[in-house]
Amino acid sequence: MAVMEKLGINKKSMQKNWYKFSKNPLSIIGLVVVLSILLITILANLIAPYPEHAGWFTDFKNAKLPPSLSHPFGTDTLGRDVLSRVMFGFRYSLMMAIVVLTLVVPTGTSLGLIAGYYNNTWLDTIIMRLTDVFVAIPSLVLAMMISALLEPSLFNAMLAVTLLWWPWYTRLVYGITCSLRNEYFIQSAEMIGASPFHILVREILPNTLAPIFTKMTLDVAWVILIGSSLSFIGLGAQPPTPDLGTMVSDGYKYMPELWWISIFPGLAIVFTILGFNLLGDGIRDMFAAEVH
Amino acid sequence: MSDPILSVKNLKKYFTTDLGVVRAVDDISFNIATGETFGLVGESGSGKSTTAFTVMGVYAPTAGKILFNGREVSLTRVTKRSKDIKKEMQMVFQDPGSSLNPRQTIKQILELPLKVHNVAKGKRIEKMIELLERVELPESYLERYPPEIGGGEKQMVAICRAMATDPSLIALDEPTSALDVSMQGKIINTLIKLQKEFNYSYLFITHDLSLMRNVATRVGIMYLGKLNEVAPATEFFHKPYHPYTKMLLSSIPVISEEEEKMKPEKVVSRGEIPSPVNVPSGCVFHTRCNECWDLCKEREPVMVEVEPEHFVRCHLFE
Amino acid sequence: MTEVLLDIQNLYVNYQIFEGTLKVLNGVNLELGKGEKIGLIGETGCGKTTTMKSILRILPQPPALIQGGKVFFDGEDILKANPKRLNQLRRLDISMIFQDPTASLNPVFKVGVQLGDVIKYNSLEAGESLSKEEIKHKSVEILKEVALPDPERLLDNYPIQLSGGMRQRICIAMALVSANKLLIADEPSTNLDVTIGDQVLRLIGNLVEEKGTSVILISHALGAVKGLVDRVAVMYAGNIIEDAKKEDLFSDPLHPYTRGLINSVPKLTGGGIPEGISGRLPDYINPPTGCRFSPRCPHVMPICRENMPQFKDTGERHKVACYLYGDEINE
Repeated sequence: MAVMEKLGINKKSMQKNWYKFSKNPLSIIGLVVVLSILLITILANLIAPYPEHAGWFTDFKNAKLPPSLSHPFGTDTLGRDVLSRVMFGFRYSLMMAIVVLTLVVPTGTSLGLIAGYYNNTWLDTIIMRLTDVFVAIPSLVLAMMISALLEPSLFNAMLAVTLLWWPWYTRLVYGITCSLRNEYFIQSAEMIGASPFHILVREILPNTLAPIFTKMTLDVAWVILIGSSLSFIGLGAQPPTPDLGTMVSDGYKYMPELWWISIFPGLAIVFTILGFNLLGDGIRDMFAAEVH
Repeated sequence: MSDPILSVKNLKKYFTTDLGVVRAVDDISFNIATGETFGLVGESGSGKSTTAFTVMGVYAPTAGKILFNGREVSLTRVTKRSKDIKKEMQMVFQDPGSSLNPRQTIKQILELPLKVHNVAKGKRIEKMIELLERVELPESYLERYPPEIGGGEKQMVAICRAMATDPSLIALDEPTSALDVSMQGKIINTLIKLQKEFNYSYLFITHDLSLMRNVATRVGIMYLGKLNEVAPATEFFHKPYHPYTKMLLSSIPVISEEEEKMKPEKVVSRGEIPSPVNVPSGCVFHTRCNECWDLCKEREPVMVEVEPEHFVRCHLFE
Repeated sequence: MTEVLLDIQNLYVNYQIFEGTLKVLNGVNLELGKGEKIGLIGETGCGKTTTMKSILRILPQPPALIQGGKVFFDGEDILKANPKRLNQLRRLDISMIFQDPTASLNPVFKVGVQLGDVIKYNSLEAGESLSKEEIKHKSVEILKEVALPDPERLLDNYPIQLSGGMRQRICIAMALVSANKLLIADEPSTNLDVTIGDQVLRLIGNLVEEKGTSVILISHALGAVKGLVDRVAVMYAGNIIEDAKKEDLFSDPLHPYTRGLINSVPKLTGGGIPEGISGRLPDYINPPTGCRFSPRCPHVMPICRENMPQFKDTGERHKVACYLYGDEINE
């Protein structure tokens, strides 16, 4: 709690934020979708009807079955229950998002703070030009390049996405830092003699949290999309990992007869992205300045 | 003046912009005595705020010297000044909304100066409560956030923060301009009371001449980076010499008849304030001056003492 | 007595926000005659801008809500007017100058375009259609009227290239085009330097003299309005609490708030800084019952806390809403 206070979050502001958030029903829908996905992810072991199908498993007698009561999403060419695999698939998608963001947000933010505070110096130039290089290349192309250079695996896909993602946070935080840098309360802190560390972390950072948080939520959707795209072209998770993108790719050649093998994982991706987008929009509205 | 607390000599601050060089502060000199309130007035573009910021170190001077208690502090920006100097010079800003970090509690805001200047951790709360008492704010304010309190109260907190390091000189840049007139009295009177109690010296900046009349001991008026007249307050208002001073004084909106009578004869202000990038030649005021003659367009006047302690920069009096 | 142009009767306006309902306007009463100039004094948050926006019907509804009252403009109830009629009024008869000239002008359009648009819509409404040449000619004329140098070249400038005083004068020019009957000026000189602000106010004064336009000049600075207006109305927390000819108001202020306000202004003749008025503006979500100034009033009486005093004429068209001057006391 003390940490939260140090960063400027308190009870009354949370209540007010909930009020603003809940005004839009779409945001609530987004929240519900995201929470359901999180629940499924955590409880996959318990609620999946055939948890063992998520790994090495074959049952050719029950392969290629269309959706039925015992297999609501049907089975794939190796006889594995698609529903269970989709549930476990959420894990990999979310895991990628969490890992990537955990690495990218602190690094990108720190670089942005430093570049912004020391703007118009060599430090600023180095950091921001480096950022420009990465930003100039389309994200999917860059991800493909990096993944193709390394051995295809989930880990390397995460590495690729991490390397291309940090500049966006640097830019976001850089912009805010530059504009806050000349505010009176920063001048005052300098006059008092506060260290640069204090100014960056205690004065500027708390004012950047709202946009960072909004962006993070929307980024989960993006990372999942890119990760799934990489898996779709074979550069991400390898079989038998039930990654959603890989599943779409596996069933792709059997379309349209065995449609359920690709469609259901595809829909899972769509719902995940939709959910996080709606949630992210709701969060952005929540932090939007009140008009008066 | 015996050993002034602040001595500014030939201070210049120029900014290079895309449109040219802005001579925000162009060769001004003045002193502030211990315990006095030195006022700087002027319109926008006059350079009064820039002067305060340069003295306080937000900007490094382009040229000239700033001496605090005889020690030179002008070399670089405030971040490079020594801690004991930083302790002595503090500032209260114009906009209370952006001078306090909206994401910090008052307690955190006041704790920073205490922490930096080594007040023992156990004694900090005590000191913060004492500071709030000085401006008649209750202890409960420590837990509140700036957006929750009113503009006048925010300025009070800003004043507490300025006092927290026990400074000798406080610069106040239009401290009440953003507030309503009914709040102004309380804040200014508090400042005056504190000045007597703690022997602060004030560099007070405002464009409100009626306010200045009642606050400052000596007043200087600036125009486009130049200091045109410096005099003790009563002299300045009752016997202004410089044409610009007269123009400004005659434009002040006043209510009562006696104030109307006091104002110098109406000098109709003509024309716009020139752009600071394109400063007029010779005396910078000549484009708007009713008493301008040829010399004014060619040569800059120098500061002369027309009466004891009353200085004017104008060819009429050289 | 001159004909009445604007008659605001008992206007109530609320704002809906997270914490509750702000009962901002609490029964505003204001009368303005044709050709009359009135100053509206009040501090930040007293509701003066809300009142003016209600006249022009530019309040964002929601979160604002007009709860009650009537606003008559030239005999017509404009709270009931349809959008088309409102547009007509805005193009021909009523216009407003705002406090911040920088925010009032669109930074991405040249001055000539913005001024031209105002002229175009005004003339369309009046039934004429002007050609580009005519609009340009008229723009130049108007800029000359507001004493702007080199008008032809100015039309080609962007607002950002001009100083604050010049921008404000352009806003005045734009407002004057479409203000045949009423001009509302919201703190036109506050953001400007004293000398320039002085010029701007004198300009407004001269121009309305010529056209016979009524003016409402809003300010929180008492001295600023003195030169320009005939009457002064004082507003506090959603009510007009005093309304009188300017000489009467300044020489003999009746309401304790007006007195406090006049006394708060530091005098050029010296005498120290007055204490001001103790206390703060009331909380609009839970405003005090009765007179909203009662918590701060040095002359408060029990009756003040029960009901809002009526806004009555004490003779010589000097109106005040205060129990100190009511008949209720004598009962």
